[in-house]
Amino acid sequence: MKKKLILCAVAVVCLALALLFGVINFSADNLENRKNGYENAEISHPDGKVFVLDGKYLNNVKVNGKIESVCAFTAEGEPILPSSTTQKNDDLYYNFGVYADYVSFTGADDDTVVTVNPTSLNVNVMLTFFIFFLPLCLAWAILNAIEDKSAFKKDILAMKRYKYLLYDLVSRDIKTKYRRSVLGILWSVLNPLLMMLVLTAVFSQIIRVEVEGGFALFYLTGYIIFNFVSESSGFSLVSVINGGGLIKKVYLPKYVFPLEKTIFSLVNMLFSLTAFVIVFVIFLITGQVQLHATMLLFFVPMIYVFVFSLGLNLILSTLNVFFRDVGHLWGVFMTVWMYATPIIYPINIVPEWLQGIIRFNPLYHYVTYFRNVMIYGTLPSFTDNLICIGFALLFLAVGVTVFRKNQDKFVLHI
Amino acid sequence: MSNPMISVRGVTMNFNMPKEKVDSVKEYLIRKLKRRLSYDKFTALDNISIDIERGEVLGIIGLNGSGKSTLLKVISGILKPSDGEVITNGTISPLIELGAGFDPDLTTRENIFLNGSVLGFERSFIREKYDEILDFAELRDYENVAIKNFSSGMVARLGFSIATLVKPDILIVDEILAVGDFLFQQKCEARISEMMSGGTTVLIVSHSIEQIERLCSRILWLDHGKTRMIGDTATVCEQYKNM
Repeated sequence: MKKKLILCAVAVVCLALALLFGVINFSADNLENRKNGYENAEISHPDGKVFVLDGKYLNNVKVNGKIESVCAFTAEGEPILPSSTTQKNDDLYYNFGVYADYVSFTGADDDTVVTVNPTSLNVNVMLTFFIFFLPLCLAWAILNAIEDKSAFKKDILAMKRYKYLLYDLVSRDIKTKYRRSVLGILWSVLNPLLMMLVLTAVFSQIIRVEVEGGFALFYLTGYIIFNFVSESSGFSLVSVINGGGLIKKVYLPKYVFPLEKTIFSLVNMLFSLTAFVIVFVIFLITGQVQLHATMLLFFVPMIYVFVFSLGLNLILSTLNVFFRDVGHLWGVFMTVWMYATPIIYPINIVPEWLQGIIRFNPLYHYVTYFRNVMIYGTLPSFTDNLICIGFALLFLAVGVTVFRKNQDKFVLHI
Repeated sequence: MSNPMISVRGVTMNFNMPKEKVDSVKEYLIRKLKRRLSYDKFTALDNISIDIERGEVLGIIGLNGSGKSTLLKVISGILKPSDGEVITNGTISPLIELGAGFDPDLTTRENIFLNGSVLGFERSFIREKYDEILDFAELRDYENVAIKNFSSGMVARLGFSIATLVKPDILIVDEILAVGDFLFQQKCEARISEMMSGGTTVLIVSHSIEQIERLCSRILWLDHGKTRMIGDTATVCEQYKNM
């Protein structure tokens, strides 16, 4: 009873905060400013040949007409390249991964029109959603954890005792995955490489998709992240059911099974990163790409997506114990999810309203984060990190709670 | 008096057995809406209480379906009782069934380590005991053979070796001794006696009344989930045979 009261209180506070945030952000005044670019970007046209955009987070800059060159800079004065350019009708769209604060276009015609589209509005819709849901789910999870504190503590302590089991199960999975194949573990590298070759052929020759930095790396980065989520969720879905033999015979903390599968997929993802390195080195030698210092941050989006996946997998493995339909449906859902994530296309070729929806897809943020550090050499902003962490925490909190509430019933349903 | 090793306090275990199996969302929702999710309540254990002391060997007897295995599962923590609680002081190495935690595709060596970690033991500890386990199970020649090629007797030997050589505080034996040949059975019984003198608490479920008489110091007789009798071996066995 007390729990429900607290939850209601949190919900009311969150709703109020979200509304407040929403009202400020979507007030007519603010919307008017956005039409001229995010956060009052000033578009000046000093000598008829040059367009200068000065503002914050300039992105999705639409150019109608002819221009010769583009220079963009971050607030610190670092020059950056556009992360992608897209042709739509007569307009050319420039994207800077939302980090450009100063852009100048030179060689403009008299009829050239430059506008900044208010895409950042979508980010704010996202944030509003977060302000409401995140604290609510966290509060729910924390209240549940407090309710059976001793059992929760026991589950955490069991982690230490069963770390060898985790290690053994992961190494067993790696050993058995490629058993009887000649190339063995090499497949973890070859698979993404071959997929990349096929899709690059299709999307750069047959269906032309223009992506800054080349389609190959663009696809590969998306594939690595997406494949991790898809693989780990597929394995985790049946992990508890397949672990039935053990669950029925010995006492084990049940979360070992989805956790193990997620770690196994993480190891696979690290292997497939080799594919990225190979292609990157080839492109580096041919001079198509540059090394970026931000590449050292490759592990950050991986940690985010790991936590997110773990939460998701806990939910899925729980559901599948009670309703086996989930397993069948999940295959279809993964296909939808793949197309809803900008893996084979850049986000700015889809209509704006759809972009707004895609922003609710957590994978879009992880993939974009990964691409920004790996290919475009841009440092993701504080807000980007916040969104990534937010999604990860949201799923982890819900996953852990759902799983723990049901784990005692597993043995009766396997 | 010292703390009992295992304290079973008023444990009741109910199973909800749905009249028809419902495991799809559609069916579940339809039935829920029609309020036709009916269950048959089945009481597998009914208010069982027993304290088991350190070093005691408790035999659990009863006819088929009297709740022996369910009680073992509740004690080892696999099932959570619907009511009551079980308090254990010490590590439990359950042998609920044969080959728990073995992966048929892995070799003997890999399985020993896997099984050790399933039981929650340190890597270094298993490494220390490795040779002893292999020798006791008489599987030295099969060190690198996948378990799937083993006979059931070989798997049982390996399982028993691992579970007993890691010296748990509580050993649970469920009909396992019926599988090995008589030589191995003798070896197992000798091993259990050795553990008993070392202070290990042993729970044995068996239909072989001779075996129970030979090994146990006290007996719990279950009948349809209820305690029929708790007492010393001779008295209970006499009653059980004359049932």
